[in-house]
Amino acid sequence: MNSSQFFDLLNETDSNYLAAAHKSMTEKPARAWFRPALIAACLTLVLLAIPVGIMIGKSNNTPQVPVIDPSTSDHTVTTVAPHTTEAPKTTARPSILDIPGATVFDENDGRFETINRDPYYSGPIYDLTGAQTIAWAKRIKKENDAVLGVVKDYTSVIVPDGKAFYRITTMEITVLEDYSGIGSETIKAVYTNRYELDSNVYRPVSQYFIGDVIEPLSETTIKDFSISNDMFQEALECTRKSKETNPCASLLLLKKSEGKTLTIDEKIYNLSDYANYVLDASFEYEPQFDFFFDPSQRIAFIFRSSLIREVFMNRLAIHDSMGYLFKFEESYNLFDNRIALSFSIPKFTDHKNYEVDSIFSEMLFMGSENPTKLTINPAYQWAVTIEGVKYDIARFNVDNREAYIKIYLDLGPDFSFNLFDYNENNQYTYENVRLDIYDREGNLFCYSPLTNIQRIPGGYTHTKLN
Amino acid sequence: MNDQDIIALFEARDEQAIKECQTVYGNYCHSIALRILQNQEDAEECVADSLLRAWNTIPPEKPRSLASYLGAITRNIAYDCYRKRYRQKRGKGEIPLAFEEIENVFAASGSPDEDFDRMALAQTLNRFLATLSERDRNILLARYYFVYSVKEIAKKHGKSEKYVRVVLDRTLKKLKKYLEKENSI
Repeated sequence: MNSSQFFDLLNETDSNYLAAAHKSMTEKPARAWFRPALIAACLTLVLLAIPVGIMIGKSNNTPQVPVIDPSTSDHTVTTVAPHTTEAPKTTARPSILDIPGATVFDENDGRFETINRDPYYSGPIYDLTGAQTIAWAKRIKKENDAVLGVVKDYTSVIVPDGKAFYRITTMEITVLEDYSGIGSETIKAVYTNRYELDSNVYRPVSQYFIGDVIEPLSETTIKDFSISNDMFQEALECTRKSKETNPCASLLLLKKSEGKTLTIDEKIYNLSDYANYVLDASFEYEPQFDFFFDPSQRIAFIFRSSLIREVFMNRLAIHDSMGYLFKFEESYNLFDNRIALSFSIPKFTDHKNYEVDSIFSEMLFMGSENPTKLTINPAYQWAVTIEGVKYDIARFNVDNREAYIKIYLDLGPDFSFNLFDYNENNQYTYENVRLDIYDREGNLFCYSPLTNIQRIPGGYTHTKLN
Repeated sequence: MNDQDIIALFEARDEQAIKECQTVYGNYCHSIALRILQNQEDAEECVADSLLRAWNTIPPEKPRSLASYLGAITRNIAYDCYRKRYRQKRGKGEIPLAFEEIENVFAASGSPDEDFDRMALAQTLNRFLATLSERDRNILLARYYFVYSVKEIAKKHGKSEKYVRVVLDRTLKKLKKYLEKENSI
């Protein structure tokens, strides 16, 4: 198709769209004075009412930030460890490789803006297919003698660093045989751009290439980073406005960085081991923090202080990567001073009696070849009832990777999972087994009848439903 | 008078139909033509030709939306007039700029001789437009259907020109990918 054909094709545009577009150009614009006033009012609310927080690591010496507790009548100011929360929302069911929208830096514009939620959104950050992929991959190859391939999946993160930030893109690349001689394997690669503020516009100043790494952050590129509260608020405000047209808008996607710290206004916070956050700035009259629950990653919702639980208990909303809402029920204390959260799915009025397949059939997950593959984070308490005897499950071992469990769930009867059992009894088979998922308070989240559980030596149990 | 009434006049071969179209859609068509042709007299002549063409085609045509129908006719006539005038040289106004932007994305997609299923393509186009945010869609159509300048669009939407250019570039690329994915091009 050439430009004339395209121009002509537009004559077939739906008349409603044409009317709306015509109206957008002929109606008087909104009064300019209102926007700055609105922005100023929202910023005021944000600065006064929002506790700025992040996920806290295991350290007991976490610095505190003052927050206003709206649950008290006089809005008592207390101190609490900060946390980060986020949740992009999707209103339509995306494909497997879809990623939610994120507020990112636009190289053309030099500013923060929200990208479209389409993962193939063609922009300076995400357009990494075709010629751009090859050009990028050639640079990779030149820099690191890496391989050339087709981008299969990618995420891009912004990591603030004072008045600058890093944009780190992690990709899964299917290697092309012709170029690498390796074969059609998939590698992960990361490249990082640093942007610095220059006359109120962010400019790229350097670029790092890292080939074939697993962790998105490298010691050679990102160490501890800091952000001013102004920059943070700017990005929040941008996201807030962006959410008017894009419900997926979310603020920052910070990839996990064990041992790293984040400084906000000179307050240093240790990042947790489970750090895949997207901050959602959906500020209306009061802050609402949404968590982004991505079961294909490893995310723990961990708070240092019970005050946070009280403040946000009634306002938390958790969405899976496909936009299904888990309603926050309560939080509870884990070992080592962490607080986990329990959720229910509002669709079911009685969350004590879910059928597993009913729940999980609604939960399709991102980044999975099998849309029914589910990864549960360890914030849930797991238990298995075997012949009437309940066994708590404290740890899971799947494919030699600890701390999460995988459940391969089909909409049909095929159901298998692995679990680790500390009980080192003999090997034997059970007929009547049920998988229960409890929160720490003993509330049953969901259960499923299982058959053919077989215990193998070493306490490792595998089961598969018929 | 609504579209159905006006179309009824066309079908009854009542010349009042043309007067009504002029009253209701005259300015609309004129603005489309003017942005393409950049000349008042030419734009007026174009609108007159458009109304004449409407008279000659309705019936049997029975458009669901007269605005769309007349807009399309006006665009086509204006564009044909533009091309005739600037056959050998680059024209003035927004048309060459808009086409340049389109060609940046679609130039490599195929040749002008390719035969596309217009109906299917139109449906694909509208499906694509449905995926866009209202703002992005309005910006795209303002630029490439109504041929507003980037500056005008930026001003009306309260955005920078750079923002509008980015949206246009991204949306065109998205459209191209969408059409390729749907095997439409």
